[in-house]
Amino acid sequence: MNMKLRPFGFRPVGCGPLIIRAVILLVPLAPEWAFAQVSETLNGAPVQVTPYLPEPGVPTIAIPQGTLNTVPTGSGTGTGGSSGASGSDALDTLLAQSWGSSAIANAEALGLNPSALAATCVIESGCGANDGNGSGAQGPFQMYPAAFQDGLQTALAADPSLASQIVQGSAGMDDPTTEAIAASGYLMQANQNLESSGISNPTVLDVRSYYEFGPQYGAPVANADPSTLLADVVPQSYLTNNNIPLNTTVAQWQSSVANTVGNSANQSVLM
Amino acid sequence: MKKLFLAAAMLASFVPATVLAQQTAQNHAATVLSGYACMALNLPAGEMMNPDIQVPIYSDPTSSSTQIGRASAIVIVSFPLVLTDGYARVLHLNGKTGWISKQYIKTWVSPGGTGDHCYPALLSNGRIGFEFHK
Repeated sequence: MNMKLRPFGFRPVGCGPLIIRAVILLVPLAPEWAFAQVSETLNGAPVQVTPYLPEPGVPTIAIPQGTLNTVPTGSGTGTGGSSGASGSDALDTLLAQSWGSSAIANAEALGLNPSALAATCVIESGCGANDGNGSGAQGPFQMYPAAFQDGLQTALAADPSLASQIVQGSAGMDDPTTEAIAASGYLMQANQNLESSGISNPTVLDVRSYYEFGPQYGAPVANADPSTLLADVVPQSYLTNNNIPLNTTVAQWQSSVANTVGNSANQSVLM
Repeated sequence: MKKLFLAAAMLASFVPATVLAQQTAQNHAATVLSGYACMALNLPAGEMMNPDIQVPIYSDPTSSSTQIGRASAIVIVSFPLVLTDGYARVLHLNGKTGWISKQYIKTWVSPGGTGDHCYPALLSNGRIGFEFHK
């Protein structure tokens, strides 16, 4: 018997019955839209086969009609979330600012949890005010000039490429993006200070005392018994300058901070 | 005995999470640390706010030894005071003992004028901290 081997087992077109040959010949001629139409109009669950002839020994199956599982469509455009960032209420507030997304990206580049940065601007100004309060502090992060310069230097030392986004000179304090970079650097300093003071993996709540009351008071407030009066730890003038009643305890102050910043209060400062 | 241990372990595993959460949330001074006292960092007010000014704590009573940390506004010193070569022995907040130049410490007085005293304490969260009362 003389057999020809066919590499893929297909029967050559010319060798089949006439009807099969016709179908095979017609398939390549089908218009493209005929195939595309199938997926475009599929707007829900595929048609289900309802058995109408019961099989002996198999109970009757009732298939509920249900509703079509349609895929919602919209005209909006989406953007990717921030990588590695821990979500928080404060972060949403920061993201709502025109300069928010760049501030978050820069914080992440520095290894700072953007929620920590967001919490700071939420507390200081609601991330909105850009005017000084008369005390020398200004901008969304309400930084004093010395802290602004310190923070900026720390941030640039950690990531020199951020220099391209900075408004030079004193005008930088009026630029939210620049101040956000400075605030990020200042929070990095706070984190390092507290870690060096014995607090491992400081939280947003821990560094808040550093930011609000100054470098030397950060660790004592963070490590004070909550029933302690803040006035026992930080100078009375610091409290009055920050509109904090003198009979406020550490626990009350921390609770106030936590209520303002929401779920970012107990997040780590660094990513 | 083995069964008793097993039963105890099973009971412990059924402690509600809320109870555990409450226990960890309540941070308070568990133990006052005897043999130590609070002193204040001796810096002018302006320097207390300056992050560039850091008072080092060394591993030994010499500036050539390893820096183990930096001092904060309240310094925990050994009591009675231990002085060696111009350095006072301190307990750092990370639990390590170290030394600080004695020129940087002074008597602690409540900065708010409340008249309270400061006591070094071990907090319920495991940190070394401070308790304040009359």
